[in-house]
Amino acid sequence: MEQALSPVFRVSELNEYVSLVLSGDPNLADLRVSGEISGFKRHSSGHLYFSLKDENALVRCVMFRQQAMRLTFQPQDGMQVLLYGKASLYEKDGSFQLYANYLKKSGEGELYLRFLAMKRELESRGWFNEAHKKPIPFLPRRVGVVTSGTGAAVQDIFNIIQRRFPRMPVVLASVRVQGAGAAEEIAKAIDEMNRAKAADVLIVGRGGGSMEDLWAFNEPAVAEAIYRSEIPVISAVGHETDVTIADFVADLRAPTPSAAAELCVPEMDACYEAVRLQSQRMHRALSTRLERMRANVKLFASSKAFRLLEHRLMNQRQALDGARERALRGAREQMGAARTELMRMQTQLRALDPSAVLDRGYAILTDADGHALGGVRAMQAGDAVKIRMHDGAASARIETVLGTDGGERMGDNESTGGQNGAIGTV
Amino acid sequence: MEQSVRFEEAMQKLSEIVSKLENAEGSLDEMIRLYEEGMTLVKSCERQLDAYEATITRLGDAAEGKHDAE
Repeated sequence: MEQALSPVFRVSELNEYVSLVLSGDPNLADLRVSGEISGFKRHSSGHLYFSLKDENALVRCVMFRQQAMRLTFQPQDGMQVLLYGKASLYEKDGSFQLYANYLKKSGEGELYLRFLAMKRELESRGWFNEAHKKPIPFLPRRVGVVTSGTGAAVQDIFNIIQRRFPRMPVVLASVRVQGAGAAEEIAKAIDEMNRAKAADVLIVGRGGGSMEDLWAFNEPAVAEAIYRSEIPVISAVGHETDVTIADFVADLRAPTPSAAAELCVPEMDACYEAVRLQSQRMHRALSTRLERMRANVKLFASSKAFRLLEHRLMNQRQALDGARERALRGAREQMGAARTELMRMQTQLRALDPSAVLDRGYAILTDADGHALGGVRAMQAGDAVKIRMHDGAASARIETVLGTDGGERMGDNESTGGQNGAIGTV
Repeated sequence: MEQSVRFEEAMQKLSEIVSKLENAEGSLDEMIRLYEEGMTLVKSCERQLDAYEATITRLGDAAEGKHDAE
């Protein structure tokens, strides 16, 4: 039975054997393989390392410096090429790989064509319109991040937010960013951020990778979620040169996740500084204004206009003084005139005073009750009368009433009635 | 979490007031009124900045749930 057992190989022997088998196959010795370049690397030695892939499989490739120098184009990830070469085994690690003699560009890659078709479709729907883009808030109250919780991108984002605005709150939705279901997870996280009103701005993205790695960000589910997001979205997918559908739909495209963090939060110190600066400018503006007003007052006080005004004021004061003077004088004159008039009237009155008449030797005749007698008509013989003279009075009796000629005229003036009145005896 | 005047809005108003003050438009009374309005905005901006607190939450965490109420 031992003979039926297969021989025992050492690893190197096995690899050498497989290598020989492969090399001996004429179909593998002269190959043309079409596929998309992925994971392209140019080694410092000048050798090119990359993979060729389609939607289901991948094969490692190498192109040595000698052959690479003959290339007329720069191979890139996502590029659809036709490879001329042979298939063999790299004995050292047992990996199956293609050794490329020549590469030919075979038009745009399959994925790239799908990307272009999607871009055209969404563009025609108006999803990339500037009018639909929301402004990114200058200072969000919280930043939402939709990316892989374990990648380098999330660390870059956290570090930069922390550096710029150390007290900025961040809410993270950790999602798968590649592979089946990734697009749906990203879309759901964006919707969830909106439902919870969890942030004022969202960063949606991932670190660098091949076009296939980034493909979730070209899927319609992600584009739709970004489009309907009420919260402004900053896309941050891969490197500067990677462009995805998400970048076109997003409100702002950042070239890298780090750049997205820079774009979504301001520097905290700069914010404080800006407030302080405005406050300072207000102080300065107001004090400048006050200073200018003070200077203006001084300038005005010494100006010709002000001196003129002052002069006019003085003139007016003088005029006022004059007027007051005149008024006083007028009043004084009027008072003098009144006083003169008063004195004149007093003299006149004094002239009418009966006692003054008595002084001149006249007498007043009254009845017994002291009523002045106006004329002889009121007298009868036997009436008792009183004679008042300047130095006293005497009683008398009427003997005869002699007549009334001229008496009526005399009777008009009672105060002088005694002058030519009845002659009586004392 | 709602603020009466958001930071950028307040800063926008503030810079309008500053330029009005710097151009010395209006009467002194008007300037003093603007200055007082500006100082209110300055204080509001500073309060908004002071109010920030660094937290990292995960969407769906209990801490995040409270924002539903907003």
